[in-house]
Amino acid sequence: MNPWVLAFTTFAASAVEFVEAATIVLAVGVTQGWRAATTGSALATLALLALIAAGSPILMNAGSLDRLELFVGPFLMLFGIAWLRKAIWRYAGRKPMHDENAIFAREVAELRRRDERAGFAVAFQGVFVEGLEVAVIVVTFAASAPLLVAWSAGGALLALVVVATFAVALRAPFSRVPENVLKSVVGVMLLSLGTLWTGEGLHVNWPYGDVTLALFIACACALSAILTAAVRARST
Amino acid sequence: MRALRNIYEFITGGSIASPAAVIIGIGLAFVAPVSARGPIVAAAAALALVAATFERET
Repeated sequence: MNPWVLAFTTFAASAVEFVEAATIVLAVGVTQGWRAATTGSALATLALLALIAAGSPILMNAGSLDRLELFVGPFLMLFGIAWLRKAIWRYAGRKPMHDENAIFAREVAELRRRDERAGFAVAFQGVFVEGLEVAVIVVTFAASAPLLVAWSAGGALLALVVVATFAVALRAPFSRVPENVLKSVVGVMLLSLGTLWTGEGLHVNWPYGDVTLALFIACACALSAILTAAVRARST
Repeated sequence: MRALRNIYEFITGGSIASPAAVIIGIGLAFVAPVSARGPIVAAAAALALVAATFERET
């Protein structure tokens, strides 16, 4: 498995989730001070790191690679389908596009009515919930490709650094991140990797080895485009 | 019960059709000859995406 593929997938998945978390943290910082915002998000990050540290070794020692692939492959497929479904609905106009400005305004209005403790809780919950999906993906990759743990975790950490740097520099919600494009890319990657690993877990000898992954990616892109057109046609 | 529902929604995004298609696909692949397993898994993945896309949001 190409380590860059794993690193890119975790980077893109993490970037999407961290942008959403950053919007919530910024709203807390603006309305209730940066102490509640930074303490809440720092504690949530620690909790997520503990989850990754605890989960990876448990999964990595769970048994043979075949069995692990058969276990984590379907999970990745389902995660990928969930991401892709949302992205397809948004492209087709069935679901409104994610609007970080609107979410920011809503959070600010809600937080203005509450005290600092609520701000801490909102920042903690926002970072933890948004980061949980990333943590599960990193742990899953770590289990299926133990030699590539660093690449998988590195992708997520790089996304955290990039998003946090922009959040500190801008102190404003990220309204120009092409979130739906990133969501589609991650959905396609997770679905393709999940299908490949599920097959390997069932002792399938894919005809072109890892190149089969590129084939799955192409098929998933084509199918998503067809489904977007079909959903759009049904909605009009 | 609520916790189980949350975990289910976290993994599947609330879809019922996609896990059903994935589980049935893997079950079929498991009992099929090894040479047929690859196409069955790939078809199950595609079918699961199609089913989830046209499913009503829960």
